[in-house]
Amino acid sequence: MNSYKKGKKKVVSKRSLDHFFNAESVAVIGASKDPGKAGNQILKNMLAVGYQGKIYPVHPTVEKIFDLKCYPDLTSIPGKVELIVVVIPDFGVPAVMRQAARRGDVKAAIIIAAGFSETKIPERVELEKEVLSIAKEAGIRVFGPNCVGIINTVNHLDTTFAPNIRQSFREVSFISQSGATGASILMFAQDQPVPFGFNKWAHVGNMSDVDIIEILKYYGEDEKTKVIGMYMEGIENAADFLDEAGKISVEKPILILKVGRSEIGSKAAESHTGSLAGVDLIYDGVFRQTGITRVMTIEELLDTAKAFAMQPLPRGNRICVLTEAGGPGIICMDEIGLCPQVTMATLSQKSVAKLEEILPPMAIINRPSGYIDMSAAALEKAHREALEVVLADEGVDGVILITVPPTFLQPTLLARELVEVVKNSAKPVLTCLMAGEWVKEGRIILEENSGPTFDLPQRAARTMINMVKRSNFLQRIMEEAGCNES
Amino acid sequence: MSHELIKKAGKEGRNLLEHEAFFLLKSAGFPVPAVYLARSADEAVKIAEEIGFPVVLKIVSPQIIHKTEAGGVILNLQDSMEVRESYQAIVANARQYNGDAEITGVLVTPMSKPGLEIIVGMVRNPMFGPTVMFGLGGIFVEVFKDIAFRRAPLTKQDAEEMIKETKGYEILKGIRGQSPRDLEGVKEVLVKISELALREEQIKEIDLNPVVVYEEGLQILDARILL
Repeated sequence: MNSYKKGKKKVVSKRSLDHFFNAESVAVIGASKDPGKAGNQILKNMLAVGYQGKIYPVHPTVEKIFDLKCYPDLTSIPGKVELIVVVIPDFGVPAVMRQAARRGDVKAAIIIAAGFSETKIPERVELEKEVLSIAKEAGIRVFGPNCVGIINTVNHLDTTFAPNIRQSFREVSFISQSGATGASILMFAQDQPVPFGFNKWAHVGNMSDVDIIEILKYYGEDEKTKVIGMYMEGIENAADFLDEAGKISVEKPILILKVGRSEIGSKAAESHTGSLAGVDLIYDGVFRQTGITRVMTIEELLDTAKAFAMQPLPRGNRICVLTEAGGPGIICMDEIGLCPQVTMATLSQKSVAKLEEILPPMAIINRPSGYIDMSAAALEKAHREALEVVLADEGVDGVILITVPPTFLQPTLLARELVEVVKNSAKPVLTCLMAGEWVKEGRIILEENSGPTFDLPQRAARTMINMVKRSNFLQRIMEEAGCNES
Repeated sequence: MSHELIKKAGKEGRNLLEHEAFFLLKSAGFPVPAVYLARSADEAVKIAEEIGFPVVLKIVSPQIIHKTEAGGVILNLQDSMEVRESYQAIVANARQYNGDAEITGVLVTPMSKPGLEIIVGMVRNPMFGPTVMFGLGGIFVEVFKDIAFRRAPLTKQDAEEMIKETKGYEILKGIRGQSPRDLEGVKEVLVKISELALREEQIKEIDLNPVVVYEEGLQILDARILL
């Protein structure tokens, strides 16, 4: 009976966080003509990226900002307002919330202003409670306070004031417990050979209402999100977070840059957000148990997120390092050698024979096992042919290709030789082109059409290690499921 | 349904006494030695003669947590006379250590063969819930912090991975011609302690230190269960 009804009348109900990420109209309270104010930059950003919904700036006296009609208060906006972005200072926020409550159509509020519970000053803690109780009664969900809000590159909604974020969206969505780190990760991602934009991005601030767990769950259910990245300082209800993450990590990789690894680092994290930084060793163990990929640096976070989004996972842990230069190859091998979960591939006799044919006579093949120094005499075609041989070898689960192109090796030509092979491979290929401007064009060709590229060999190695670990985790989940069935 | 020993200790507002902890662990299937509570020197001698020498005596008192510090543990007793003397010495030491300590009795247990010592623990963490810890005993835990954590419930795979995460794994596997230790047994203890933590929510902390691991089998030599 019920299912019949459901099938007949298809109601597309918005999930709670859709009122934020997929808001059809936004009012910016505290809009400003002054370029030095957040209320100006938010509007500018949103116009620059081309937000697809309606924008209503609110300011008591100004009539127009950036050619947008300005309203003196929330009440006087004639159209529907789904989301409000509150940029006015702390003690003015309750009045705005009351106006929003009276309107009845406001479903979500992003409160940018700081000066609430994070200060631990009793009257300001109370202020946050007041804001929240007004919101709760009116059925308005709250992001923040003390946050920079959200970005959705699908509908071009952007409540942040991070400069120049290009909206080239990928399948990676991000959650940050720090506005500045979150924004710098956005900008760092722009600074890749091919600018890397996130699908969705959120800075949670004080988490008075919407918290990390709810956003994680939202990303988990979001069809456009395939990889979830996170910057984390600490979380009080870690058990609930891990329960949710555990459900998602079986399908989507979750990468977390969890800080507070050292005692002094964790003290800084504690005083930063007022939240518990926690015991690092426990985080380490339970992340692994939950299938969360823990990364240690911003670049590892981005590198790995890109690889997860762009490349297939290795089926096993046998990696082949195919290098045109000895030194960088050894740096890469060192990184792999320190990780017990990854081993070097064993090449078949057939592959070795083929490589001997393809590569210059001074090439060092499969010594040590899985390591091929093609030598600087290896040209574009030899690179491609050697890559094809190792990818075809059943003993190889993934390849790291390293090249320091000399003047007689054209990076763009090389990239064109490789791009189809990388794109069509069922095994991951991480390409390290060293370095700088000389190889940039080549890296763009590869990144636009196939997979991530790297400027340093240890970065490629760390990324491959994370891919192997992820593959191991999924394998383990499958084995456990198999055990339960039998 | 919590275990009656936990109910009883909870009602009395105290932690489990060591013999109670051993009893609880035994009923949950953990590898524990035979332990008996003697309330007099005569009783201690009788028990020792029944279970066979050498034996170990340990003080049992709700007020004394650090037994060794209180002079409350005497190892490797070879005959009835040694047991009788030690019983009296232990009780006297305990009284001197803490005049108000209520002395429940003295625990008599067979002296175990030496083996590789590990530590297994459980702490109910306010953020993570019950977490299980594994590490090799002695300097590995104290100096090198060579330990690994997981959240309950643990699967066998979790247990295996957490052991492998520590440097101690190489030693458990057997180095310099030593035979490998009972890894399966260690895994079972880790899984069981996580189950116990989930079943008995009143338990705040479990400390099995040391657990001696042999080529075949393992034995918990000391157990603390805090409520």
